[in-house]
Amino acid sequence: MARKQYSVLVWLLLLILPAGIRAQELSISGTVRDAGSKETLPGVTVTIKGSSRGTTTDTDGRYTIKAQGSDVLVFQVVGLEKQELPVENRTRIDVLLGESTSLLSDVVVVGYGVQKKSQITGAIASISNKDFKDQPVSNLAGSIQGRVSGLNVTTPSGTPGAGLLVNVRGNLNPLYVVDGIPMLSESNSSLSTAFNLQGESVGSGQTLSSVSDINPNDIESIEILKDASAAAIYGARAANGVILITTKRGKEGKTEVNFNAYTGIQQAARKIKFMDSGQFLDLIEEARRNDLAIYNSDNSAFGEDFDPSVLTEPLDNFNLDESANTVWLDEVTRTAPISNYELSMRGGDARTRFFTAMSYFDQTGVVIENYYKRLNLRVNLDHQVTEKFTAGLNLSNTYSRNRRSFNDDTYTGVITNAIGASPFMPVYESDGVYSAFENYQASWLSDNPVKSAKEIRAFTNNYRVLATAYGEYAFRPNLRFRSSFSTDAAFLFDNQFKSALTADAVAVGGEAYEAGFRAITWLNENTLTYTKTSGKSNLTILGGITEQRTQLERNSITGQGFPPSGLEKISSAANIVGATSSGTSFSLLSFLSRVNYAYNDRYLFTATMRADGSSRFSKDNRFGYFPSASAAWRISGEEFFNRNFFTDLKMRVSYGITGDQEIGDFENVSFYSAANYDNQAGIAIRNIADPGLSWQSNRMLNVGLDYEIKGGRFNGSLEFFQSSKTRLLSRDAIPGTTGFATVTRNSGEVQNTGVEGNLTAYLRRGGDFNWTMNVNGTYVRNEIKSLSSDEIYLNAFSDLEASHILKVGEPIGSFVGLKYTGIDPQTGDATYEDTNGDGIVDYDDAQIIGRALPTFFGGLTNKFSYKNWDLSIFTRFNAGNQVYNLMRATSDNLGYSNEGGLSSVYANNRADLVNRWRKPGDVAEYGRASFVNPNFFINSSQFLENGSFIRIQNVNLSYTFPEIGKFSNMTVYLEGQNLWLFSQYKGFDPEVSSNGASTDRTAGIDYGAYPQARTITFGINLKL
Amino acid sequence: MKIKSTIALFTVILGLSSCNFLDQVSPNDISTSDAIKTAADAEAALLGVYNTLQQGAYYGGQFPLMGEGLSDNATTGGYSYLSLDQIGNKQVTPANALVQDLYISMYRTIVNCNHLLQALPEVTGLEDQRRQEIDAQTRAIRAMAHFDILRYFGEHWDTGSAYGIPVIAEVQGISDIPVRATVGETYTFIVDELKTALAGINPDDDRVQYVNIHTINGLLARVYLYKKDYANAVLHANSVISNSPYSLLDATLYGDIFSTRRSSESVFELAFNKQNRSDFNGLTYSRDDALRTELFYLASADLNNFFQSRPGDVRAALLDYDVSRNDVTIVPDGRTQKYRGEESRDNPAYILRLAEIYLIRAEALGRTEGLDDLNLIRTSRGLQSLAAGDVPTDASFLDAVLDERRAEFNFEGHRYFDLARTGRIGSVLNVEEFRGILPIPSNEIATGQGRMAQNPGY
Repeated sequence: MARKQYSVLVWLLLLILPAGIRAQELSISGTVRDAGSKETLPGVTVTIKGSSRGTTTDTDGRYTIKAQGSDVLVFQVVGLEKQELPVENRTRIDVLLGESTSLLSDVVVVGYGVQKKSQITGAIASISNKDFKDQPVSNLAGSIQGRVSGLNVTTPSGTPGAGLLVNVRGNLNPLYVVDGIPMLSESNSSLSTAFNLQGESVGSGQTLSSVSDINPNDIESIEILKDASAAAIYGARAANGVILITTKRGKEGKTEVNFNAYTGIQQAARKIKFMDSGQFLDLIEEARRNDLAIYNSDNSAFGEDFDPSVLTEPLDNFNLDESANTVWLDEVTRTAPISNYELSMRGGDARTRFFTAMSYFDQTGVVIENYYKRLNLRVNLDHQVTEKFTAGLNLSNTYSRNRRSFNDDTYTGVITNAIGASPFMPVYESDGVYSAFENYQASWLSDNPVKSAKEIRAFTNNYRVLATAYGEYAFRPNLRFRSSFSTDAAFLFDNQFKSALTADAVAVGGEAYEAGFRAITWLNENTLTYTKTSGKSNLTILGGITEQRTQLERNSITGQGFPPSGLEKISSAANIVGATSSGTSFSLLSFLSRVNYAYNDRYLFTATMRADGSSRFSKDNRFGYFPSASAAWRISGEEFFNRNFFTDLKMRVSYGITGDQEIGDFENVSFYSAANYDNQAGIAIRNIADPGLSWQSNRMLNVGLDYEIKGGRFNGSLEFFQSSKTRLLSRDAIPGTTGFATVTRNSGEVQNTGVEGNLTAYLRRGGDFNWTMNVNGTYVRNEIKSLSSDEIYLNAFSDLEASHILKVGEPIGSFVGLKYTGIDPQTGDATYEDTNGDGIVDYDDAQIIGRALPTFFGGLTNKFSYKNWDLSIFTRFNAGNQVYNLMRATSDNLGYSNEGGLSSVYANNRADLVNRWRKPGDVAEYGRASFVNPNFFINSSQFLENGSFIRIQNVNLSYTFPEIGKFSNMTVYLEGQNLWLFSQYKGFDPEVSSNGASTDRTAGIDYGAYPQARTITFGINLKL
Repeated sequence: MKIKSTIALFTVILGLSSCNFLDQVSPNDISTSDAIKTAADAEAALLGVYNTLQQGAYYGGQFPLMGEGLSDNATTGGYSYLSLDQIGNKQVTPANALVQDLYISMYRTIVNCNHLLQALPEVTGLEDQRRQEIDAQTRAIRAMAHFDILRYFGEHWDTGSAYGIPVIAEVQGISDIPVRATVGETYTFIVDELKTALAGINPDDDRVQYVNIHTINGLLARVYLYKKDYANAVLHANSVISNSPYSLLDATLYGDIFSTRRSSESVFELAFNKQNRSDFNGLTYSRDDALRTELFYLASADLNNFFQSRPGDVRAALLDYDVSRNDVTIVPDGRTQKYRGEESRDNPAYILRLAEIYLIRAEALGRTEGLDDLNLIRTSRGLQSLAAGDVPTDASFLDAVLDERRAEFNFEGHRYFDLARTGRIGSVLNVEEFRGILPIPSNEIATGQGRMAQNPGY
């Protein structure tokens, strides 16, 4: 017993105590020179291995450092080979640094293991902490946005904590694996829904990303497994690529204490400018005059019962003298602070290593009332129990609280209402109460936007624990068995209170909604790794078995009728009007294996095989088999290869199959579920199912080339890929006589073909001034090859007309609508193509008018350093896609007011619309103002805009103090995020997708998305 | 040795992962094949069939109200909602999302009926009498759903037309492609089913929230009227009027039909409650200050004019055109008051009312014999009786019946069908005659692999 307590104490001490006591120190000096030119090298960092103490060489390449006789010195500079030299009690050490080939000896994390970069045969991109740290982003996917070829990360809105659209080579929603745990990455909040005023869901709203639960700064490296060879080890979940996230672990040596903080401000990066009261009045009066003139010459377009007096009688509340001239977007947005604080410790000795970190992220939304706060704790621990046995623990704990923006990104939301609100309406009446939107012009509104923002209080609270305990036993140095148990536990609570002041709840005296979500994943993984080196052959064999079970439960309750005194919990409700509780689960049993064989480091082969059995499919088609094979040839290793220009050249080819099971649970069975009638419990059919439902598979061919020029001065890769997703798991339209519109089944084929490349160039290095440039670009072509039935119309929102279409030969996410042919200069009418030639322009004339997914995207990073100054400028671009700006049917309505009855106008217009057609002969961008009949068509290319952009995504300027007081290192920095956007887009931001981040089929709609922020932060980083 | 033990360990783990590991059971559902085995299951599934009638797209709101929007009784509101605008403008296209939902929801009911009817003979522990009753109720609902589909999507006024609807009387697979029956065949199916139901129904049950013997007779009367088989329409109307306990309310109590539940005038009334709400209130009233954009269906100015010419008609009181109570954006249109109760929102669907039975009989009997029934309704609603001289011709009598139906059933979903079956779409609505029925939704055409014919004109 006592012994046990003692050992616990030792463990604690190991955690707490910094490294041991120092012995006598020597003062060592010397000069560092370039091995080639023999010139002295300034700016070389000299550190003592295992500690963070260090210095840099001066302008003459000289250095002085204090160290012990037994220490090892590390000499490092960008672009040259790192050298480690033991002091061996010397006091003078001169060094020659040669050209670097460092990248090739880097180790890259692959599924269930690590591999040297030089031996990789698949398409894997690796990005390390230094490339994304300190960015003011909450989501790790945001930190790799634009940094990696083949990976397109889209920010669908500016909502703090929002989900991102992550697309790997044309495939949406990759698998996230955090330190070996395949992570639940869906949006689990039930507030991410667009509701109409009847409280019915009409589509998906802004999602929250559960990937945001991982603090980006805890991450050591992120690997993106892009091709089948790399990803197939994750089998049935790898069809859309895999993102491996490796968090920081302990290191032997002195304990490194790191404090990092930044704070700054955010503002809506671009606002839409709306008409002021005078311009709005002009527009409406002009619209009425135009209509009257038309009515007087030909009244056929006005209907039998039309009373022309509505064109002449004064409109209520449309008086310039009483106008509040409210700029609504200014009323609902603000300058918002953002800050982040982090404290981490990292260290260990020969047997025990630890990393521990805590951080607090606090982002206030640029839309009023809205915020996102997150607290992270992490402990990663490794302990060598015996020479053969190592054990360890990873523990990550997250708490986040999100004050939601009501109906975020969709209509009846705060922004959506602000876009249509009339400048004649004040926010508050003179007595301080919210002005009643019903009394002012603009019937588009569903409520006073400021009232919606303040009086609908919605929160999502999220608790998440990711934990792994592992043990690794080496039977022999080359035969290791590893077993791990992991859990991913997510608890999420939503609550939303609509006060009785809001239009949404006035009839019921206030409404509260509370919902809970619990997801528990248990995972057990067991792998055996065998390596053998004989002569020039190098063999690694991996085998493994994994089991995973995930259980999810949801419940919700809705209450109505609340006392006026701020009592907002369900227990204060007069009536409980709805309650739900449901659960679901799935399990996965997998067998995996991989063989790597290298001969003479020149001929490399990898083969993988994974068999996955999933509970989501019926017994007979439950198991899926996902093989892959790849080979690489390091041509530069051959005798005949001239290494004058290319110092390293490797060709790779891979082919394999990956799968996708990402549909809901239990979709293979047709079910009855509860359906009551007359206060009695009954059952009704819930769904229709295809019992033959099985894996979706993705066959991918990848041909790649890795190159290094001049010893790594220029390096990069070039890839060609073609993937065919077959037997797509899709919600397929079926005859309505089945009682259902769709069924989940395997049908159809989509092909992605593309090329991608990247280049890193050390344009200048070795002196005071260094310049590194990295550029990457990807071209992807997406094409639907087959469908069970062609031409399927899809509605982004169920109460809007079909906005997208699935059609063979076209890409996924194709927009459908009328083709706009411009403004007729004589009449000012908007004109459209009458494709069916029936003389009537209506939705029957719809055709494919654009695409939501970009074809070309990439990023450019320039890093400059001068002495202790560092500057990095990161630019991102996107081309080839369009955005369907459906908000313009409101903001560009040209005075059309029949939606709300003709006694009131419909919505304010963008200031741009002063450039409208006024008289015959005008060649104008916008048509004739019209009060009674719309002079636009909502589903048309009139509102389809070019989605291409170039964005200066991130600029960071930092200064590093080498040694200051007790701190071995202090860096201060100024950072700008989303600094500039080059785009013709008329909305907030062309990077938008209003109905959530979950689907590419209905992507690219702007229906009042949350504006994106421009962020300026100041930060400090202290190392002890 | 050690390798062997490792392999042994692997084997053990493998053993642990028994096959059961991959068998997960949903806690909220029961698979269709296991759902209906016992008597209690069958009762639950029957309740489920009624539940499907309550879908928002069906009798939960859209089925009756969409017909109003398509007729001269209503205009539409909504925020730039093209599907809804098309309904208000009587210019529906096959891509209309609301029409697609309507179509599917009615077949959803039929599919539930088909599953129950298929399982019913094998259900254990069920007395034969009760088995027969469940069968009868289910068949009657299935027939009604077919008739409802026919009224919206088939040329119901012409028994010789090829444009009937797909008759689905068996459990369907996901790959089965439906084919349209002729109108004659559709009617034959509906009538046969209703007659089978009539033979099996319990004659002593007269609860109006369930299909009872009077519901079935009433539905038969309605179907025969549409089919223009007047003798049979009279026969079944007679049965309801003479045998049922239902009675017309006094003129002063007309509003009770809508403000109370299961008034004595109801023959078949779907029951909702606070936990299981209907959409009627939200679609037509919502809240006192509602704007036009917030509502789907508004009472048209034309309906107001119609009532202006009917002084004394108590039914006018259930329409509110008052500017002081309606937002300025709603006028000159108004709001129906039939579906009030903003807090509870449990407004029933009035599928069959006694007044309809009288008006069916009036119409079927014709000018001379039918006038009494027409006058009975008129006098029950505060109007004077018509003399024979007021309706000198068959045409003027039919006009009077249709006006009475409009006054009685506005916002209950009869008007559009009445206009279509009497050939008045063109003259009353001023649109092409083919718009008397809706287009088959475009997804049906797309998934029909060329075997699903579109309605003429669309």
